[in-house]
Amino acid sequence: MKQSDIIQTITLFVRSNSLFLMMIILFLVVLIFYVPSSIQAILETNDKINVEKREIQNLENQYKTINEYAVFDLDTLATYSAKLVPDNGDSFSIHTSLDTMSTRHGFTVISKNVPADFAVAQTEIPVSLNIEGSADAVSQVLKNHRYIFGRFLTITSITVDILDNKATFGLTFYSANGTIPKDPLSGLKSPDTAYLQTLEREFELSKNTVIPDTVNDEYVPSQLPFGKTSSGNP
Amino acid sequence: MTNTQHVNLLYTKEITQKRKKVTKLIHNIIFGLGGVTILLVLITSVVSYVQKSTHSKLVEAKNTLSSQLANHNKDAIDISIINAKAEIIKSAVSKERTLGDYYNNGINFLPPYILKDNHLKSVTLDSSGEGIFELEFVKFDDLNTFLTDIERAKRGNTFKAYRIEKINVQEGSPSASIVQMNVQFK
Repeated sequence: MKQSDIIQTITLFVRSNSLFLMMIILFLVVLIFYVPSSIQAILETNDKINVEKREIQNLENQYKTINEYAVFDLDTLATYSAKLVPDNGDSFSIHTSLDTMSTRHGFTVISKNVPADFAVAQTEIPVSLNIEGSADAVSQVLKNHRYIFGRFLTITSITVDILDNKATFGLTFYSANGTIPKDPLSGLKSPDTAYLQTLEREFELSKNTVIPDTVNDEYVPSQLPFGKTSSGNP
Repeated sequence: MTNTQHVNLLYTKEITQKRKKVTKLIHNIIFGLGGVTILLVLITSVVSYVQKSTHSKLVEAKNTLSSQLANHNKDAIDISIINAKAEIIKSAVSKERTLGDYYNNGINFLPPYILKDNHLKSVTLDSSGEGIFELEFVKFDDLNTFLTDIERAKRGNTFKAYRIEKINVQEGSPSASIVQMNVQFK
């Protein structure tokens, strides 16, 4: 068979089947380009759906967690917590707490060492307090001291001079320097019911303990803010 | 009909049959390919539509939840404040030794006459659980009585809450004797 015959045969074949051949090309184009791109789009949408599902799950958990706190008076507890552990050192409220302690237990404050400046990320503030008071009063302070004086405090050491009715407390006050998350929803966790109930109870007790603020916001010093003076004035 | 004409006729017939076979094959390919293509296009379109619809519903649900959460933003801030402070408070409480119990147990463990006769001079307690009880005795008899009582109590394993580490006696004749008793609370 000659080459010209072959070409003629093919040409004849293409002419008589042109419509079918075009359809084959069209289907191939659809199969090669459209279908894979559609599948790719489906996979991408599937990823987006998974992301959305995760975000919704996260939001639902956050919503559910917030609702778990509904039984508590959050505004009051947050305000109370912020007073117990302020965001900065706040030596003023430390002085106030020590004054409350001495007033409530009938101490005389001989001296106290409260820092005025605080390091940037300082969360523990050591304070020493020398008082003159009965051993019973010291015992009462040791029994209950953490929440009732305004600021949250722990006692790290104590020396009681029984015969002279004097005592030295080593105290630690706390501040929350930089520990509060910037995004409030990021650190949400289920409520610690026992802790929150303790906080509520201590708040109720503190209402009867803490000396209410006077109208005048000016700092009123304790009887002996800088320790005992040598003068004989009352 | 010559032989040549006969051969050409046979050749043409053969070509025509082959062409018909190829044409049929092409038709079959087209139907197959077309069927598969249409099926795939239909499936991908339906799946894509369903997915887009699902995605838009999820976005809508997310926006609804976000707006609901936004209404509770104040609560979330309060909760974050409470929890941040709670961490500090709980950590401090867990680390704090029960000095109140140590103090009372220490006082109670001493023989009654120690407090009654004002022998207990001072008590020092710290967060490591160490305690120092300092006692003062003017009379040697009282000192000896105390030391005897302590020895008896030690033998009787009375001190379950703490361990006596050291008893240091500074005899101060003719002035007062000082007893320094170091204990470790358990």
